[in-house]
Amino acid sequence: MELSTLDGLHAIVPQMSGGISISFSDVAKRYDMRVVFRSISGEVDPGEVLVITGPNGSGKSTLLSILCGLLRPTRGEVLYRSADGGNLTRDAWGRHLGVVAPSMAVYEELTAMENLRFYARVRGLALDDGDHRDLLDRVGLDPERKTPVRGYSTGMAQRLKIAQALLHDPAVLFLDEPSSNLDPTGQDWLEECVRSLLEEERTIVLATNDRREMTWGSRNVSLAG
Amino acid sequence: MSRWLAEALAVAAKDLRAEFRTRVALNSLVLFALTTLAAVSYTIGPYRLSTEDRPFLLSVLLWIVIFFAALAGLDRSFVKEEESHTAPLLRLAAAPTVVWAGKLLYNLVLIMVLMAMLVPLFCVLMGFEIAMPWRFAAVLAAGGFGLAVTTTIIAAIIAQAMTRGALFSVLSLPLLLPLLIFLIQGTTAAATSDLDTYRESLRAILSMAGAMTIFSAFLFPVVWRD
Repeated sequence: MELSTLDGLHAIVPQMSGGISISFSDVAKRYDMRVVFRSISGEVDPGEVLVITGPNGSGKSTLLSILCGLLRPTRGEVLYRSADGGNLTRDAWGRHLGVVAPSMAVYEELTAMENLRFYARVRGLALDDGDHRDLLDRVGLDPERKTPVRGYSTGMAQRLKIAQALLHDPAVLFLDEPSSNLDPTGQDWLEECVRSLLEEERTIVLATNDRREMTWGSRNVSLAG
Repeated sequence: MSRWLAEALAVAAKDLRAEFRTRVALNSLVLFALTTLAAVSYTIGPYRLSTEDRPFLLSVLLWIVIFFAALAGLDRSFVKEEESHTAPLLRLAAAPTVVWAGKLLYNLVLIMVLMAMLVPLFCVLMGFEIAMPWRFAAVLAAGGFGLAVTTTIIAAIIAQAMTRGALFSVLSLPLLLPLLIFLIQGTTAAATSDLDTYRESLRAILSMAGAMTIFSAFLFPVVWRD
């Protein structure tokens, strides 16, 4: 199946105009006595990719979870600013971000269509099955496949996670090793997709050690091991 | 239909669809209930209790079976989200109160299915005669809601714990014990046409369920996010 970019999705989902900037200062995280990292600062603006790199166990995924609001830092603060300069609340912020991460799964008892239908409904999106079929087709999954996600390969599940993250056309995308388990065609499509999102002034935060993915970055945070 | 309700229904529908495909919670509930009912009906049966003790003792047995069956299966709603790593995306996609209401509806459906199957069987096997069937149904409905709302918030709390094990039962027991006492009292009153005790019990059951609903609605966002 041929993969295509996300052209046309904007007709489905209303976009946030102007994009969102993220700035974080003096962010630290520790679990009991174990210090994951101390005092990390940085920022990323619309149209940029912030790449978080570091050896295994250095806290890349932890920092990504803190930046997307799923985890509270032990110290420091994270601010999300809209184009008009106002800070977004946590509730408002949740509506504008999409996440793809190995530690986050979709529902394996449901089919791909049912997963997308569910996320669209809880996000309050007015999408129909035609939109979901279109999105699944774009990420390279067969929309007519009736088997639950449990029967998918890891690469197919990864494609569904990407579809889920793009469902609401988010202003900010958090990607944790997004190319993992994708075949070369999928990796090419993902890179093309990221570049088209950047042209549309989306903000992307990427945690990776993949040399190819690192080249997408315009800003970098390097974590020590 | 309001957007909030539509989103909550989506959460409940998703859980029910997944449950009817795997039947993990439903099997636990039904197997526990049927095993206990079989043991009780075999050892006690419909004739071993004296006539004056029957309404009270059968009410006690009925609610013990329902209570422990509920403990066996209703903790799955949140534990499953954490164990299958679907909770983070749900946290990002849905408002906390939507998740809480959806999970409450799901638990309510499970407990109503359990009661619809168990209670007629219990009444037939144990010879439990109810003088006021509609009032008995009202106690069951209020009790089912009380059980569902309490087990939902406890399930949310224990899903965040590192060692879940028996925590669900340990936390549920003190919170559900007062409710259980009034449920037994109300059921006995419905069986014996004691209207005053029935009204008093139903009022207490609804008050407890209402208080727990308000308490849960405020507590859940904190539990779910932090």
